Amino acid sequence: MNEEPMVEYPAHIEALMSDAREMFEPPAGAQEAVRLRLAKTLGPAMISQAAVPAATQGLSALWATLAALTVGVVIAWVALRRPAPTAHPATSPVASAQVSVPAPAVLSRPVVTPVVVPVVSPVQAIVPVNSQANTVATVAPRPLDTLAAEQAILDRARASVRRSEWDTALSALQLHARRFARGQLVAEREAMRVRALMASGRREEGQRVARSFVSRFAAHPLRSAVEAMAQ
Amino acid sequence: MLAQPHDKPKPSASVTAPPANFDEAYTQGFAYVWSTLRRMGVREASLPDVTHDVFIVVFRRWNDFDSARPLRPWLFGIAYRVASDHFALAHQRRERLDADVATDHVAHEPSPERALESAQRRAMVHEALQEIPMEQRAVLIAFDLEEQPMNEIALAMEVPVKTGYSRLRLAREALVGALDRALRRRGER
Repeated sequence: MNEEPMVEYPAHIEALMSDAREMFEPPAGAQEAVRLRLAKTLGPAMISQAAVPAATQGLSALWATLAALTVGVVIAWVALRRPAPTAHPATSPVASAQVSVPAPAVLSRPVVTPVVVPVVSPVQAIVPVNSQANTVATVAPRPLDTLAAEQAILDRARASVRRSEWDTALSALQLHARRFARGQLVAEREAMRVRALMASGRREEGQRVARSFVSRFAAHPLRSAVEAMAQ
Repeated sequence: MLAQPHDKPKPSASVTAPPANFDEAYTQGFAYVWSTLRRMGVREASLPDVTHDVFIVVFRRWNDFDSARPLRPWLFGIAYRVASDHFALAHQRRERLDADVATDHVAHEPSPERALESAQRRAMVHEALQEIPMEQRAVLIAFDLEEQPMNEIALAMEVPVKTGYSRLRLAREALVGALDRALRRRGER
């Protein structure tokens, strides 16, 4: 319960506030335009096809084709790399079994990463890949798990940026770059890197990263902000 | 005069069924997010980009959404953080509500003259809002303009309820001062 004395609006201010309570209405077409961009960014799987404009239907087919191709390649890759059954007796028979990972019906990200993963025992799962001498496929992290890990590192970087601790922020961003060179939040990382570099006085480096950002992510919503920061 | 906070009616943010998936959340929440970002000070030209970014976060955090709670405060918390990041990233080209406020689409315009007056008053309020620190401005927008309950606002902004009321008090004081100054400049006080 609030116990602070609350400021009340005088009548002339309250009259102004009543007008301000009216919502800003998006212009016609804005909802569909943003939906289309979301479908392109995230893939059409999370937006029901009924609600997606026809323009994205071709995109949907593209995603499906990519997914099918990826599954085929992964199955072939795993089959070729699978060791002979006698080579590693310790390997559980279950280890080479394969299961499909069911993707949530609506919230799955586009399936461009392998959807077929080998099942390994808990012990195998924690053994470093190198020690397995390429004989046991590792468990592929689920995209959303990877995303959460990426997000956690960028959150740390963002918190450092807010405190103007540029070196700490850049270290976190470097960590993200090492772990997720081809991550899903590369653009966000690079935008933050531009800001940290520029703010810490490393302007040339910041401008170089900004130029790289523009060439890699020409249509990204952060582009204009990155260009402004690099000026 | 506004009633005391504890007397204030707390209309339900939405009477529709909670969204079952991201697509429903998008359909139910798009106009709300758009309007809220505008109120927070995102320029009209940037609204498609920032709204897009909000729903990217909504998608990524969909598993965190508690369907037993209303959608709007949850969206508000995300919009608040995305808008804050947007302003921080764009600090060198400080986003301000400019004259384009008057060109925004306003719901239920009764007549051209009245719509113009209404738009001017809205522009004045929204310009005054931009003088308030973001964390206070967001609470005022949610509580006074969107009439969301403070407990939901505090939850969305991840602050104690008491902090929410403190921010509201400071925001109201600042807003009254800013609006009085604006009215004096216009010779209306």
